[in-house]
Amino acid sequence: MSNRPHERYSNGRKPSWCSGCSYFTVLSALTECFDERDIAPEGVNVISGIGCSSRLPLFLNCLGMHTLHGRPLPAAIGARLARPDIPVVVATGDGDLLSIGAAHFVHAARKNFDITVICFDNRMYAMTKNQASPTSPVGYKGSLTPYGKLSAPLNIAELAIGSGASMVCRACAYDKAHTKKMIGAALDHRGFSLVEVIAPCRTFNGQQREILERMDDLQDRGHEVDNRESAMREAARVYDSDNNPKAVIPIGVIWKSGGMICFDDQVGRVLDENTRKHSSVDEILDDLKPGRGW
Amino acid sequence: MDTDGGKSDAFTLRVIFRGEAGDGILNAGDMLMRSAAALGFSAAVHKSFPPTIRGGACSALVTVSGEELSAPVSSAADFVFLLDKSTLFVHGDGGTYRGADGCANTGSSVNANNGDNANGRIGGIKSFALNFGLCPHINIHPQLKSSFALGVASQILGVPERLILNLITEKLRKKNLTEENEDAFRKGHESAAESIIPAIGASHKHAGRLSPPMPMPGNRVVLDGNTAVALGAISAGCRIYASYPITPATPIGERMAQYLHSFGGFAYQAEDEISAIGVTAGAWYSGVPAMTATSGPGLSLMQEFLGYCSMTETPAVVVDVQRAGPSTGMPTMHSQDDLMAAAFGGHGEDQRIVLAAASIEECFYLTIEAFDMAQRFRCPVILLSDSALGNLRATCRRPDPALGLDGMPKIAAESAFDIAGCGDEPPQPPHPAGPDDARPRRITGLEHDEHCMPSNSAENRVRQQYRRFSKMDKIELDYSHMQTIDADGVTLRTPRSEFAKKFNIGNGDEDNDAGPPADLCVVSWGLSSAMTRFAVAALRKRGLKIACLYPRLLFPFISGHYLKLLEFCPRIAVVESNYTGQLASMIRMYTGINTIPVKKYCGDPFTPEEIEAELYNIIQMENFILDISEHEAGGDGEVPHE
Repeated sequence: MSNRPHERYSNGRKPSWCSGCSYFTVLSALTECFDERDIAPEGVNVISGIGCSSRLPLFLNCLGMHTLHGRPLPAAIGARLARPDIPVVVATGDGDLLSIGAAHFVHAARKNFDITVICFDNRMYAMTKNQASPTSPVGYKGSLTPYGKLSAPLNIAELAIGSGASMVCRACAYDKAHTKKMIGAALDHRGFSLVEVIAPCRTFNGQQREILERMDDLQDRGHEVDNRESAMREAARVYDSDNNPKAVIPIGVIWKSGGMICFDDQVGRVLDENTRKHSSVDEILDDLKPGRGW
Repeated sequence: MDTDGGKSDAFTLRVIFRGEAGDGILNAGDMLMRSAAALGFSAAVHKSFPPTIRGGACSALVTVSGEELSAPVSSAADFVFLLDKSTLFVHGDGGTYRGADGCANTGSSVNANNGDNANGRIGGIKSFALNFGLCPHINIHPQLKSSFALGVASQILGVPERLILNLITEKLRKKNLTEENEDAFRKGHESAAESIIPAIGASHKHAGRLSPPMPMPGNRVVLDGNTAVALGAISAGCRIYASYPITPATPIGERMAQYLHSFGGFAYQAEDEISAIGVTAGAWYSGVPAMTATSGPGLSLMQEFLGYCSMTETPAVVVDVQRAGPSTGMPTMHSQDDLMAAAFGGHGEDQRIVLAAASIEECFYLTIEAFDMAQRFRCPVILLSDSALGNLRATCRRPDPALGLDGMPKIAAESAFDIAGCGDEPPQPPHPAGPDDARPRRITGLEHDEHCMPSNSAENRVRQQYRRFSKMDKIELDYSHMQTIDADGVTLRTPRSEFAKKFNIGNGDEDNDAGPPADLCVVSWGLSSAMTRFAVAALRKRGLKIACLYPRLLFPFISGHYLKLLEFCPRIAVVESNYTGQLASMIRMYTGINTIPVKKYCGDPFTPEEIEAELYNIIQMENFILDISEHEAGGDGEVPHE
């Protein structure tokens, strides 16, 4: 552990986020988690897509791939398959993960790859200057929907649980200590873990620190994390406050399955079972000599 | 093209099985081909099938030779087994039945009555109806017709029954269909002895052709194009394979899933092609060579990631087993219409390398080259194959991973990373080797500086763009062995150039090598070039002088090789399976040379006979035009102009 975790993981470049952006909290929570676990900068791979949140690996001196819009998970899977010894963290946003990258999200969660996904949910596209995203509230006036968004928001946690993710957490970027706790728990989990971080865009939607008062920590009221029914129920409530200003937002570990085998471990099993069926290409070619049948 | 000399081992035998998908056509072709191979002959099976599991015309052309394998795709045939008459003319046969000795019609539409032995003519050739009456099972299972036909073929050709019965047992054991098929096979065998052999005569040139067996060459294997790609990849160190199911590339994935795990690698089925190339890029970033294989629609989806690999200088190997597009097109049929998409399909201006394989062996060696080049140049390499080549199965020389293309020594692995940086610039891409590696650890698709920091500066942009493109210049210097120039018996129009010396062209007389021009230059790529080689050999036998260029490295485009063809003859024909003449267009784009297109785009590959006829016509026509213009120019002393 270092006294200055931020410096240990920084590449010296000042983040290009707006001053006062809630994302700074998440970045610093993440590096503190790395530091507490003594993960060396070259010992973790931070992979992202495109968007404000996806700039994150460019501020770190960790291994990292700043990939294409919506595509961090395919690259993350490639990295996991190639180097099972290096943990992978995906930094992504609600547009990146749930709109253009939705197919990859569903399948990475279903396959339960050992990847930690941090979804910065600002409920809009900020980098392209204010368009409605899948998680924007009904009626959201983005530049491409000046008449107001016509469809209901997509619920990240519900989608993750439904897809088969083995751990789903929710935090609010205004509460750094809790965000750090959630990211840490996700890093420690073996399997696909999602941390949904509610992180409003200050530039386009203003500071919304008052939402902190509506946060309802599930761990404070004995929520059973391995009970799928209640997990789905708590997951569903995230956007209730769009319609009811008094509605609470459940945060904390929403879902954690004990019994799901992650894809990475199964790869190991397949390799163990198949080792030395053929020891060389020459041996395969021997089997392909004429008269050897099919 | 193929002559039957007095020597019995210089023959070419071609047998076609044709019927509906589901009739067991492809299995029958495979079994006959494998039997011939097991008997020591050179053999190939070329398959054509519809994108359906049941129904639609399906055919398998089996070619057997005593010596070097003759063209595995051909307009000629010796025997045709027609299991369903409705499929006779469905797909372009290119005169498939020309020269056939017999068309054994086992289709119920003609042969409705059991015991109907009336012989007739089908498609202009003599036909012999087969007696299904011997085989009551066939009335129950029409799918047994192919085993029956196989029995007939083995009787005519003298293939030992045991060989094919073993293959039937092995193939159909799991489906529990062995007994019926063995019975149908035996009945076919008996039926042929009774009706066909007497009809074609025991002295027919192919009667008993495969008996006795030939001595088996020690270095021979049976491979198909897709398996050759998979083995080449494993030989090259590929340890992660990611793909999404797509015809006709899926068999590459099936082979990788079968073999790769033994080598500590993993074959991953992705949710789509975007994910497949993303996994490939992620694996290469992490230091593990990886590959994906797809066909046209998948290549379209991968384009954005290919640009990402170029920009981040991450290697990637993509195999495109082409099929007839656009859109879903004809998913099982042959085409060479992805060249432009492979070379120019990305947005912005990226660096990529496009290779094309012409044969099963090239599928193996070029896959290895693709991995080497991807690592050397740190950019995506796209290897083009096609549905006919991928499914073509034949006996071939056992590939040797220690050797390169054409037996050339491989470029030393030590030099692999030397040229990534150009000139005095340090090698740039990150991909750190370990904790002590000081290089930047992250990559980005944004324009970036040497430290992989995003940069929008004009100065940096110019420097990086220039550096990335400059590194590709090395290709022209180091990879001329990827192109084959075949100018056998052709003299040069000009004194012997450095180029001519490099490719051993001309008679070696430095100063006095010039002679009359060749009749024609021919350029062809991919499977078409393999067929062009046979056509050119035939034309040369007819006394014509032809110079050929068979490029295997198609992009970056090396203008010099094409321009130098003008040393032989100003007329260049380009043979390729597409409508727009994609290589011809690239030749014009980069060299300004207008070529003569020879195109086929019906979904079947070119046959050597078709190419021979087309090239012959071109030569006749061009000579005719030359005669006229000379006559007119000489007539009134003026060249007429319009």
